[in-house]
Amino acid sequence: MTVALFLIFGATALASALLSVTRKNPVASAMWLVLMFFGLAGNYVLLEAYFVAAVQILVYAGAIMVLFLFVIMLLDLRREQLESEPQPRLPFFGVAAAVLFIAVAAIALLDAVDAGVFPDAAARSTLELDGSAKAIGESLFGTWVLAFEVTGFLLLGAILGAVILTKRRLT
Amino acid sequence: MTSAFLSPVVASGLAIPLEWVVGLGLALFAVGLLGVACRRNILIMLLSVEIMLNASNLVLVGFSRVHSEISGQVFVFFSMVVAAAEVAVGLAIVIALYRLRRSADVDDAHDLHDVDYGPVPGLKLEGEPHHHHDHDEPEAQPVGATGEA
Amino acid sequence: MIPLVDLAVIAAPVLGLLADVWEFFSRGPDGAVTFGWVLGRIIVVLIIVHVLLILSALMVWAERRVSAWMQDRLGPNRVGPEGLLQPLADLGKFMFKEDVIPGHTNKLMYTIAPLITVVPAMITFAVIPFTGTFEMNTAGEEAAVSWQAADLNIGVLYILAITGLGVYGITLGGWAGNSKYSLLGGVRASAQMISYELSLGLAVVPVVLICGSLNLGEIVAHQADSTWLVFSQPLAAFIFLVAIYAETNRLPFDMPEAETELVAGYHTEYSSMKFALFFMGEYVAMVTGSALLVTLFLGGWTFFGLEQLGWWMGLLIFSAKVLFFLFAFIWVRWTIPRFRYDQLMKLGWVVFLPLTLVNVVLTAGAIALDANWIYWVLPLLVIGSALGAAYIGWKQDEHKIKPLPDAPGVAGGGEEA
Repeated sequence: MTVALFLIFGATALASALLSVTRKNPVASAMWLVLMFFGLAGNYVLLEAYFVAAVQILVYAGAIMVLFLFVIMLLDLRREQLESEPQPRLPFFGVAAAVLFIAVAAIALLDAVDAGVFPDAAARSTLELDGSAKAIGESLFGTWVLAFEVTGFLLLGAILGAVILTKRRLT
Repeated sequence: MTSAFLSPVVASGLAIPLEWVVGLGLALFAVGLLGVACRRNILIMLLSVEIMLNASNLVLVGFSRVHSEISGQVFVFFSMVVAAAEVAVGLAIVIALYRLRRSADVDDAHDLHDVDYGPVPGLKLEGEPHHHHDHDEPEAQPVGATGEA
Repeated sequence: MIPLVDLAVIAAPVLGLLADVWEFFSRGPDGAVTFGWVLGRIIVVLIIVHVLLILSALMVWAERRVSAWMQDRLGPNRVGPEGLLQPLADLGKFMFKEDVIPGHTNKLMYTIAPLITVVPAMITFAVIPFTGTFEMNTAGEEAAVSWQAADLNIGVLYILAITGLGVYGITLGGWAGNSKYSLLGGVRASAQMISYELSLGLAVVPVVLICGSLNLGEIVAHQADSTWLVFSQPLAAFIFLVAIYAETNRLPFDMPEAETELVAGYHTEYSSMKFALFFMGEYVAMVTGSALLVTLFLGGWTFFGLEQLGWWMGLLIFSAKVLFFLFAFIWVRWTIPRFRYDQLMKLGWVVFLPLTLVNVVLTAGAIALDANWIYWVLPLLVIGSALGAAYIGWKQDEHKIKPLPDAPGVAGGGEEA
């Protein structure tokens, strides 16, 4: 059951990611990406990372993609402008890079499987991990508290940068 | 504290082989790479970067589960924060660029790329999109890349 | 009209029978979660969906009748007793109207946008506990499970995540309509909902801090043990209420569909059942929002011990509270005029966001220092400053609005304005 669900969610995520990068229309692209976020959130639930799954929907689908949609609608690209994308930039090299990446990754992955890096079914059946909000919070505000503070400054910088970049006139 | 609701779906232990999780992550990363390399719409390029970030998040969660180490999920949290910051700044740049060029095509923004004294930014803010550069020009040909492939 | 007590007497055995059916389905032979458990969940989901749909239809009737009552007219009163069957008649009209898909629209987006509006509003209700708990045997352990479709440990996060999705339907509907009014409505909706989601989320944080749990059942239990959170967190409750109004695009924040400026906003191009779906989505979101407010701040299905009469009492209490807030939605609609868009944004970002942040910091400080007096000082401070602000505003208005110098008989008219 779990494995079947993983495959369904994974196939959904992969297919919608592919559709997302091949759509001409940015709005359609963004909506397919939202579906991909849901597929991944499903996989996070199956991996017992409930908090991450909820935050995935909350942050990615709920905030980041809405921001994308807002900007796409704000730009209001006209249809001829959307469909005038003459040809993909560097089509050959892009596809070649992706295929090469997949090839290298597949070889490395198969090698790792052969070398027994990944735990087999027996070893996996004893794995336990508490992925609740409490466990994440204890780690986040314990071990990683410095990193947490730094991300606060990162966000502050991003806010300032976004405001300054989009201001028409700085006075 | 396991959820009563989710218990029929998730058994104890990990039923999913980790190599499948990693494989899915790699495939998603390749799709994102394809988008960044091939598309010229800056919005879709940003979306593709999100796909790549999500792929790495998935792998982080998978390894966190296998190593029974919660830090992996904390890193996913950080990566989401970075993604949010990146999108905020990236979209601000898109808006600023669109104001100057009236286009969401990355190839229209190459003022620093070659010697082309196009219209001075700020002089022609509103109005028709100006194609000061023809796409047929061979300047986009990466000569060095053929040697790599 | 049957008195309420009689109604309870009739309802109790019927509901008791239903509870027995529930027990049968929810408990497997060895206490493990079985097919029957899943079937029981499905039945609960079906009941919730139907109640929500019927309630949203009744809200259409209530909206028109209450509006009429407030404006001293009659409202629809011809179809059925007191016009109660008016929603059915409306539904029939919507069903048989021609379903126009304008040629200039994006067909796929145009079709799925109304669906995307309804679904998130409905599935939010899955985690809301609407009445007491019952003992259930899960995995060999007796545990108190609250009555809801899904007892999630991360219930609050789930709610925040799902309510954030409601914006897609409206934004896409506005974009797919491909007309300037629709687009403006969609852009307004996306900016407004993203802005108020911040206040919404930050207003929930003190609740989670005080209760120490993200589980809605536990939040209700905590409130039953101590006190309703609206008393110790009035500011958060108020901001949550206002943010719910903004999230559901209700007056005074209905800029995305402001009929005086945008024709009908994001659903200008919609007709027939698709238009009805947008309406349904709005009303279901109102029901869900009220239920959330009741659960998080007003003790959910508890009422100072009255709920111990039985779980049907809890259901009655919960319904009464939710219905009151549904009434308040209509009440506010005819009381407060529409905000201007910049006022709305200013309220969200300049007023509510700092206030909620300060509230979170103060509450967290109180919990960290174990200083319980802050719980009592904070509400007084909030109410005091609110009264002070209202007084100052009233004083300023008094100076600003002066009777015209040579108009007879308007002296002292400033207060009426």
